[in-house]
Amino acid sequence: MELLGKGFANKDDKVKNMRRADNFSKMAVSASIKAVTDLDTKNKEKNISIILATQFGPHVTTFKFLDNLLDYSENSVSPTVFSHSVHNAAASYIASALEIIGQTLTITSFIDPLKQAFILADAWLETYQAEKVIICYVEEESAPFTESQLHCNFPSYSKHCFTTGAAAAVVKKGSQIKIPMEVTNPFTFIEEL
Amino acid sequence: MSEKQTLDEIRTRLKEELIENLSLEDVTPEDITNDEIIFDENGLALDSLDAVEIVVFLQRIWGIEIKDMEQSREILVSIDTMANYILENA
Amino acid sequence: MNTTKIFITGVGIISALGNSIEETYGSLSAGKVNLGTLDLFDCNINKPCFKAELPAAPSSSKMRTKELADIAFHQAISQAKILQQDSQNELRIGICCGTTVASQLNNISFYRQFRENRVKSFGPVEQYLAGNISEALVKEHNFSGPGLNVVNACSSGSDAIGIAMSWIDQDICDIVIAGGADELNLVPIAGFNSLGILSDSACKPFDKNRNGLNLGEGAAFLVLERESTAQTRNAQLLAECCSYSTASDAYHLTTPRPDAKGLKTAIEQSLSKANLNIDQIDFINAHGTATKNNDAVEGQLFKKLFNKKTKILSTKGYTGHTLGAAGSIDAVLTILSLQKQWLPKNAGFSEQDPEIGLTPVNKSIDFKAEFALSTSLAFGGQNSAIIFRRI
Repeated sequence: MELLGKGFANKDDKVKNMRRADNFSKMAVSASIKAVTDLDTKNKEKNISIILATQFGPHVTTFKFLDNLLDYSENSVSPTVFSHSVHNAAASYIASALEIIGQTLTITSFIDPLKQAFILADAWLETYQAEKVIICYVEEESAPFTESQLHCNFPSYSKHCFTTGAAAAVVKKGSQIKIPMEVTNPFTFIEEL
Repeated sequence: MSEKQTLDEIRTRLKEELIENLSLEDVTPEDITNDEIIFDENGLALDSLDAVEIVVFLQRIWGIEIKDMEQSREILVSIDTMANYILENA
Repeated sequence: MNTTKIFITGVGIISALGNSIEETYGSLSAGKVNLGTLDLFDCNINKPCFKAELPAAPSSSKMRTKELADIAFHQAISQAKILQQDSQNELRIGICCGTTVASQLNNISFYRQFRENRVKSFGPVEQYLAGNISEALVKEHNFSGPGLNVVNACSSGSDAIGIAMSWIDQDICDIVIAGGADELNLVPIAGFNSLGILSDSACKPFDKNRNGLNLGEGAAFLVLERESTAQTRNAQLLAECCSYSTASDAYHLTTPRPDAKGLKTAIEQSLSKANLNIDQIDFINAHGTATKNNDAVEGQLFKKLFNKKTKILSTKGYTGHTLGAAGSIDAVLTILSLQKQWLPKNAGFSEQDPEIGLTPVNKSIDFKAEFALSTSLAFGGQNSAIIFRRI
């Protein structure tokens, strides 16, 4: 694979036309937009795909939905909050923001989600299922998870990169990037590409 | 308290709740007119997800039960139509 | 065009239709609709649903989704003759599983205690961490391949099959066990109810009077491998998995694109990869959830693209919408129909919707079929299409 661009976002990033999106989705879109500055997604580039990788997904939004259940009852929960607690909402926003109609996939793993995303992107590029792939890694912190880390055996991957942020890389077919045996910190890995 | 004042209070609360629950950006209650068609592109340009969100907060705040989307299309037209329905059914 | 021919050598399934492929076929051929009420946990939403019956008492240490997945998984690997020694014979076996519920920490008791600063046990968190289904299954079976969960909402089960095909095609794995699993859970029940798309009676896919979906639970797994790999293990070929494609609507978070452009792209690409003409599709196992929007979008597209000889049906009237498991359950039911040369009735249908203009299979029939298409449409606008061939 060859790198075409990369971008990073944190929770303070502002994104247009995402009024009801949660931070998880906003960070994903912001990082992806920064990564694709050189791509003409509207006119020439048709065969672009998206892989979003995460360990824990938009759990802040899941907890917000649980707040709804506890504060209001099952019949008064917010459909908007629910829609954003579904893991693939962020990838959907990326597709809408960049008008990408190719493959869109969201994957989770506690072992090495970013590496899995690169492996899959490479497979798609090699088999011409995509000409370019946006790989976006997103993670966010929350009080329940921060507290749980003190009491539970979290995967070692989490200990390195349990933070709030998004990193995106756009790749195409090539031999510049070698998929490593292990990606210990996804944000650092994309930074160093 | 006169009926008119109660209706005004409902209108004001509706506007505040729309802005809050739908995360409307750069919109104040004063920007929303009572008769504008909220789902119109020239109104607030709301969509189907906003519609179900409104149905939920009408129930949560005023106890209004809207049975299906057919019924919601008649009620969720403007601040006035919603406020009048609330006044009659809350 | 796909370069590697990939075959299915094992399937496993659990849903409201039954706890095995044999029970599933028995229920389908009898037209049994096992719709019930939710009694797994306290819930004020009285909408009917399709519950799976676990064969044994549930374990307190495992998420229900993992229980369902384990049952279907073991059926699949048993049929495919994947024995313990396969992992030691240096066959690279990977697992890819679609899910929604298992990917979230949504234990409401734990969260209530956390909010009140009185957590008694972090067991629910440990359970969640152990509940990445693919990773857990890889570890339990000592497989050497990757384990990855797909969280693409309602197309996850199909997309897991697509990933499996990529892994085999690119020689990352020799065998992949792909599928999906999801349990009935308060979060999606409350969430779908808030969207106003749960029916208060048995769902009616493609029917004029359809008024929403029924949620269901279940799991299904398929074992995928090259013919040469299967031959070395004396595994029987059940069907060919000819192609998979997926395309995005880039339209809306919860509503499918009215012009079905994403679904059309996925179908056309899948046909192209399989080197097939559209007329060669004998039947379609549609997503067919019985919501106004989904069935209109799917149905209108099918009416436009396919000629009358292509039969169309949804099996959601028997299983409910099983979310992350849906695509894989539909895939197994598609293969079942190809094997039996038979189509079940589209449960719940009685009157054609003039806005769609098609009548699905409205009684079970013997039906000669070689190629079948299975479609899945997800929240967020993902559209997936898989083509299977009868062996």
